[in-house]
Formats: sequence, C-alpha cells, structure tokens
Amino acid sequence: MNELAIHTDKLVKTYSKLRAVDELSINVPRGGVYGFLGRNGAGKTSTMRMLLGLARPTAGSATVLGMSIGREQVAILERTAYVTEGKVLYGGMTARELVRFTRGFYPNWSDDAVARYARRFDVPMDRPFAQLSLGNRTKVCLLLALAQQADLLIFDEPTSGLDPVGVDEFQRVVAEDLAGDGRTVLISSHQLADVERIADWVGLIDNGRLLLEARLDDIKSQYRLITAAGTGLPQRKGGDILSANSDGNFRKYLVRANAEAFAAELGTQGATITEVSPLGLREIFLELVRKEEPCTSGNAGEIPAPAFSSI
Amino acid sequence: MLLHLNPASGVPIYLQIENQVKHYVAAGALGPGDALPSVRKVAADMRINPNTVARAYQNLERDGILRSVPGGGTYVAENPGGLLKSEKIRRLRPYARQIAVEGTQLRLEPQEIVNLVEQELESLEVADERVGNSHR
Amino acid sequence: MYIWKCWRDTRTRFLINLILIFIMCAVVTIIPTWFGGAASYQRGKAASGVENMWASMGGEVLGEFVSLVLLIEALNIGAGGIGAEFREPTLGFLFTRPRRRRNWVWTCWLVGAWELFMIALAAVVGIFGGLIYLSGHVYTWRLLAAALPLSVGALAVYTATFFLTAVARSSEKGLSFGLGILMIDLFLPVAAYFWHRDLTSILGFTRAGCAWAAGSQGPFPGLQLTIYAALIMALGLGTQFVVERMEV
Repeated sequence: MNELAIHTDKLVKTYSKLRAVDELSINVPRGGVYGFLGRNGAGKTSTMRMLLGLARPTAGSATVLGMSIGREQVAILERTAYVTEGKVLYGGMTARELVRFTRGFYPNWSDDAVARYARRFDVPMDRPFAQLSLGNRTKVCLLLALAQQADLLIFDEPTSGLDPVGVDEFQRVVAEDLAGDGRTVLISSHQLADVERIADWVGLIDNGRLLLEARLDDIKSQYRLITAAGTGLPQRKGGDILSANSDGNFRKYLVRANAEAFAAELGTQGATITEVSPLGLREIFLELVRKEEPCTSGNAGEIPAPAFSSI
Repeated sequence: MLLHLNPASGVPIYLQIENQVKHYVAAGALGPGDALPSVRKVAADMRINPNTVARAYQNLERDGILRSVPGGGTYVAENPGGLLKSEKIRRLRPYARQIAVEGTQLRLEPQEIVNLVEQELESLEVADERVGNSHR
Repeated sequence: MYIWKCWRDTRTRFLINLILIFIMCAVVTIIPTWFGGAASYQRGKAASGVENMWASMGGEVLGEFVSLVLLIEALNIGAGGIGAEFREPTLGFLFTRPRRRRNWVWTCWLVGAWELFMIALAAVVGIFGGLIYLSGHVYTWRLLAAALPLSVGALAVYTATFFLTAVARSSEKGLSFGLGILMIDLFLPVAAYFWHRDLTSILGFTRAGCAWAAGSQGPFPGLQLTIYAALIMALGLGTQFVVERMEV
C-alpha cells in the first residue's frame, strides 16, 4: 500500500506565460491533515484542480491515492471529496435536492452523515442555494463532501464565510471524524491559526514553487529565528538557512536546524546575537513569503510569546 | 483533564500536551491509575490533530509517565519517574539553562531566580496536598 | 443523478411549450371552419374535400409554421443544456463527480433531444387530431411520420447550438452563434439560386419531409435525412471532444 495519499512530481501548469505551478513536488502522507499554504495566486488552487482532473498539467505527473491523475481520474474522484474555492452549486436547488443529486454518484454515501452534519452545522436544507449566504453555501458544500465518506478530502478555503461557531465545528469534524478516522485531508487556507491547530503537515508555496514542506511539530521544535546585530554579516541563504532579511543594523535569519551552531558561528564573526526564538506558523509564513521589505518597527507579524508561556 | 493549548506559539502542540500532563502528574492532579481521555476525544475536544495527541501520549509512555493497555485506554503509570537520575537531570537541564538566561537578561539577581523556582516548588506541594490526597 | 437534474431544470418550460404547441397546431388546423369557410371545410361533410385541401396545403403548414417554431425551440434548448452549467459556473462541481465527461455531454444532449422530439410529435399530433375532428375519421396515418423529418431538422440546429455553446463556454454566445448558423442556412439556398445551383436549407428539408408525409407531391428526402443524422452525430461527438478537453 502506498503510504502517500498525494504525490506530485515536478508538476507544472502554465497559463499563457504565467507559470502558476512551477515544478511542484509535494508529498501528502495518508491519514494526515496537510495544510497547503500560500498567498493568493501562489498556485494552490491550480494544483488542486490538476489533482482533480479539472486542469491538465503542462508537465510533470502526480498520483492520488496511488492512482495517476488523468488516466484513472474517475476512480480517483470516486474516493475523493472536493470543496471548491468558489462554493458555487446549482442555484435553483435546495440542499436537500443537492443531496439527492449527489448521493447516487458515491458507493459509500451516507445519509446518516447528511442528517448528522446538517444538524451539527445547522444547514438550511430547504432554501434554494442561490438565496443562501456565503457561510451557508460553504456549509452545504461541506455537507456534500463529508457525506461522501471519501478517503481523501481536498478543501479549498473550507471556512470562507463561516462564523466562529461554524469554524469551530469544522475543526472538530476534521479532528474527530476525518483525521480520527484515518482519512487524509488536504486543506488550503489563509486562516493560518486554524491550520496550525489541525494540521500535522504543512506545505508552503509561493509563485508556484514549494518553499517548505515538513511536519508542523518538527518546524516548531527546530526552526528558529535568529536576530543578530553587527556589520558585514553574511547575506547567504541555502542549506539550513531559509531566509536572511536585513532590518536596519539587524539581520534576521530563519534556520531550519542547528540554530545554536549557526548562532555561535555568527558570534565568532563578531555579531551580537540578540535573540534565538521559536516561531509560529504565521511568523514563518511571513518570513519566507515576504518580499525582502525591511521592517522598521520591531517585530511585525510576531506574536510575543515567551518560550515558557505554555509550559 | 483540562488542557490549555496555544497552537500559534512556537512550542509544538505535542510538547504543550506533554508538559501539561507532566504538570498534572507532578502536582498530583492526576494520580497513578487514573485514566486519560482517549486520543480521539482529546483531539476532538481541543480541535487538534489526533496524530499530535498520539505523539504526546507515546512520548509520555516512553518516559514512563503513562502506560497504555492494548484496547483499554491510557492510564497514569503506577510508579512514574523510573528514570535514572542522570537522565532526569539531562532532560531538565535545558529548562534550567533557559531560566538562568532569561532571568539574567531580565537583570534578576541569581538568588531571586533561585527563590522563584523554590516558590514554584512550594506551590506544587500545596496543590499536591489539596488534590493529591484523594488519590491515595 | 444528472438526468434528473437536466429534466428538473427544463421540465416546466418543456411542458408549457409542449401543451402550447399542441393547442396551437390543433387550432391552426381547424381555424378555417370558424369562419364558415368553404363547404369542403364543414365538419364530417366533405371528407374528401378536407383530404384534397390537406394534400395541397398540409405540407406547407407543417413545413413552414411548425418547422420555424421547432427551430426556435431547438436554439433555446441547445443553448440551455450544457449552457446552464456555464451560466452558474458549476462545472467544477459537476466534473469532480466520478463519471466520465462524455456521460454529462450525452445525458444532457439526450434529455434535450427527447424534449425536442416530443414537441415535434405534439405538433404533428395536434394537426392529426385537428384533421380527425374535421373529417371525422383517420384518413392517413402517414401524417404522423412528419415528426421524423421535423425533429431531425430541429435536432441538427439543436446539436449545432449545443456544440457552439460548449465551444464558446457561454449560453448566450451559443444561442447567437446558433441563430447565425440558422440564418446562413436559410440564406445560402437563396444565394445559390442566383448562381443557378440547387441547395436545400434545413427548412427546405423539413418542408419536403412534411409534404411527403401529408401525402402531397415529392419523394421522401431520405438522402438529406441521412446527411443530417450524420451531422448530428458528428456535432455530438465534437461536443464530447471539446468537453473532455475542457479546463475548468
């Protein structure tokens, strides 16, 4: 049995001249919750669409649940649930009619799940989809996806329009019914705080390229932001150093391992190490994706979190 | 079991769980033989990944703090702390170092730092007397 | 299931059109009797007169009036079928249901084709019923066969519009392109006439087919029927080709 639910190999998608996805290779392990992160237009949705057969790769290949995209697409779709970014379904149909439309396509469809999630998410079942608010549309999309009892669930911005109660309920469903049941979830979201809670793996892409893919726990236990003061500090990236942003007299290095050793090395070059701090996902995201713009007013984007805060 | 998790902090969630369970055991809020909620329940209640909870439980089990009965849940071990003293010290040393560094950076006197740690130990003992008796 | 969805989307309009066209055709047939008219129109009195009149005029009524109504219907249904998926961009949802895309194309096409055929049949049956009312007896079953050339002609326009809607990925564009094709088709034989060439439009084909069914002059346009049937298949396969390669 293939241990990867999704594997892409140098996947490329170009739209006229734009390289929306650029030699992207990601690995989503089975039974995990994979947070697929990136800015708007980073290539997340394009990647998902290729996995689902809605777009054809310009180059590269991918397998989903061990089956190759394109050739075995119908078999993939039978075991994969997808919530689109747009949350558009047939406007004239009510949720009940949409259920009736969708149920016949899936061998594992569960009407019990429909009833359960309709109650938990408080889905208005008898109003035409076109008349629903964005939050309620999202709920209907989630309802249809969850009732499929799929092995793999691909969610593109699954919480858009949801109120805090809806988001909380969604997280509970992912934790308990999906991850708790060994299903694989690929989730793209801008809500880093939500992803940080629920994901065990994250992949971060920008301009169609993979910047980072790792277990979230490993990131937190090994990634460090080193702030050093001094002149003539190295500007280099590469190896364990993921980014080196300069900030006035300070230089910030994001390192993915051996932070202490690197800090010591900087020390021998005459630098004063002011801080070696662990990072949350949000800081890592900003540090990696930010376009080298100097930050002049302290630690923008950081949540002040003393190392002992939660011990 | 009441966990307070802060997913946005730089501390991995599994470590936060481990630390809090250790804290409860050290404070006597969890006594030997007490059952812990299932991985799935903790994950669902806290809205976190079950793999993360499982990892924390596994680490705690490896440390001898918890023991799991196949198919029968997870319990606080009867004689936690079976580790060699040197190993215990090795594990604690990074925290001691961090306290020393942070304290010095905050310009506290060495004695003040030691006092602080002693106060924390005392408050653990008080909590132990209050809660722990019911377990014995 | 998709066939239910296609039917659900179009059933109201279809049923209204079906009933309207049936009544319209029946009324058109018996209207002359309301004005007293010629003795040959008197109900049940001069059956042979009705037959003679119908033999000379039936082809025209069916071929001109009914054909035109059906062609407009064909444009409408053709642009509405797969076009409905573009109007509310639901293709991303539909195409991630586990079926081959050709399944969507042909299901959608079949529902529209069936509706079109039923409407053609309703028109012919309306006229057939009107004639029975007038003459008091069934004098030719062959009249019902007019539904075949009528629906094949309409299906050609329908499938062309269906194809163009998929190519243009827009219901509105598909409708206007379909209308354009129909205009060209009507205009070409006129132009060809000036060049002393003999060309038939779709309207010419349905007229000939109806004239034959009404028992008037002319042979059955079998060759054209075959050509149009082949064209319909080709356009259907073309739509399948386009949709299977479509990126959403």
